[in-house]
Amino acid sequence: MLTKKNLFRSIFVIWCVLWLFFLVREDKDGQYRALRELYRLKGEARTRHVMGGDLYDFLAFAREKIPAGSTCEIMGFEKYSIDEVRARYFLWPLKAGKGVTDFKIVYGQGVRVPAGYEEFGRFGKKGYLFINQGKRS
Amino acid sequence: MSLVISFLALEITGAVFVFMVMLSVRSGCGLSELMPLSFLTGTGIAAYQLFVYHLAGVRFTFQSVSMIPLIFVLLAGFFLVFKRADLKQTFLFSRPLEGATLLEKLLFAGVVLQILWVLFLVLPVPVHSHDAVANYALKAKIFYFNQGMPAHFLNWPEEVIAHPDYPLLLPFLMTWIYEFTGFNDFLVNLVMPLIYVAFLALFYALMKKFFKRAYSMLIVFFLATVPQLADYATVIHADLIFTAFITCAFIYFVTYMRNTERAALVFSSVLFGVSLWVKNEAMVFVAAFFMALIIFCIKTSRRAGKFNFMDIFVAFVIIAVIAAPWFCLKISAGAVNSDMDLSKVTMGSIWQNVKDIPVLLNLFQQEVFGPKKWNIFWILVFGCAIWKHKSLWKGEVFYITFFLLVSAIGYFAAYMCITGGDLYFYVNTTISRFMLHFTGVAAFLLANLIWDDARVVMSRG
Repeated sequence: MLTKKNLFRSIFVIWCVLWLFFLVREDKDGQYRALRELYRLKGEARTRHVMGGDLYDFLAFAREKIPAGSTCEIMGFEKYSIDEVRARYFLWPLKAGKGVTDFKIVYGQGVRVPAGYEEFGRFGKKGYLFINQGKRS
Repeated sequence: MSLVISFLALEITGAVFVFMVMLSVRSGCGLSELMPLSFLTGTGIAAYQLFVYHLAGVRFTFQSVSMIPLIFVLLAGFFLVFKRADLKQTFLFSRPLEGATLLEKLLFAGVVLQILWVLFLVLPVPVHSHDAVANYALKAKIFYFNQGMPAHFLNWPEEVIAHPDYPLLLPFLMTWIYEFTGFNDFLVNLVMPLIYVAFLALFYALMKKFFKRAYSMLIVFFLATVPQLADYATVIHADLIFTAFITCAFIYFVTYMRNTERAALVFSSVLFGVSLWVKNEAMVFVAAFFMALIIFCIKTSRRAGKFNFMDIFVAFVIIAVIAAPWFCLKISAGAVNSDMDLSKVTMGSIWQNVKDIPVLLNLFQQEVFGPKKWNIFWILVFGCAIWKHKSLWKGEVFYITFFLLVSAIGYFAAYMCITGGDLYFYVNTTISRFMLHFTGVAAFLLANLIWDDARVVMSRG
């Protein structure tokens, strides 16, 4: 019989079932695997795991090579994509910019040297660093 | 350890502030209310402190940042020694779970389980979500390494930092924590679960002013286990903090209306004021709050025979003192919102958005009926609003309905004024978090609407 008491109880039960279901269900594919891995890792290795090894290694290379406080344009990413904003965050105190900057940080392969710049560093086939020729002199 | 000290410093700073307010208006509260309220106000004070440092040209260092909480700690020590009697009178000590029924214990266990789950998801992960690294955490990193806000920061282009014009409470709070812990974007994540806990604890303490313990616990359980709310406790994002401030501020306002207690109005105003430091959207809620306050004062003046101008004035002054410096700086810097530039709003741009209203409604219904983010929360809220539609405009519930409705209209109007591109993109990326802002007050509305029926059912077991 549909009484208020039964209605309230039913709502509560439905709520709890849905709550527990969505609580333990993976939010994204491989979420638990990633979490297990993150718990196993320590310190910077966790950041590397979250960002992806290739991207992290390249950005760590760029951060090490380029003097802090320089301006750089980060290229090779979709604008405002998660990788691009993570790169900006990771690279600070290198200041991201657009147009004429001290450096160009280009992630990816088959890259041409931008006009007015020359190669400053190369990280395997994963990415390139270019320095503004004016800055070099 | 340094993280714990930084959190304790926030707590003590806030507690001293709360105590001084309570003392000045001769009011009091329980420990279960004091602790979360102190933490939330403490975060506001920390942000305000760094802002004042920026204006005064003081560098952000551990020494300079810890000076203010140190003063508050000394004040706390002074109160403990010389104002012990006032402290005992102001803060009532009680055991929250004493004599709890099985239902209450189960609900409490459910909330604890949810909190532990949030911690489990947060602990091993660095700052990583899109808005965190593009906006809040990047700003905090810049402020920390620069030992202050760089010159012309509010005018930096989007290529450097996302939304430089956004209010700075969360970046300042993170910077404040970094001054204690050093730059550590793992530890700083823990501030979000803590704010989540503080929000739930304060929400519970406030619910208990209106309802019985078991029912208050039930409402808190519902709120805590809304997936969207818990999800936002796992990432660095201003929306959960914003929801906490808006919700508690508004419930303090309803408490004030019930008891005409000045302390409740002061805390309501303080929390609304701080919310303007969290997100620009606070302007909508603050406007709705003032409308509700004016209506309340008009209604009571009919009974009392005089208009209570003083309370409106007090609320206005508190909010202005807290928020005006930020707006002055923002306006003087000429910072512009990239999504909604009012100077570019034309009849044509509004009409373009009006034509896309079906898109907005479609996304809205997907949220309401989607259990992944909301369980059946919005179905319950809207279902009960229909069931109890006559109660929506009676007594205190009138003000809750009014506040929600005016705020929702404000959000809708803001969507119609979007100038940055197509409406679908903006609605799709914002609607679920915008609905989060309403969640706490909507839960309070729900609690009020079904209280009479639930009381009968619960008394029968």
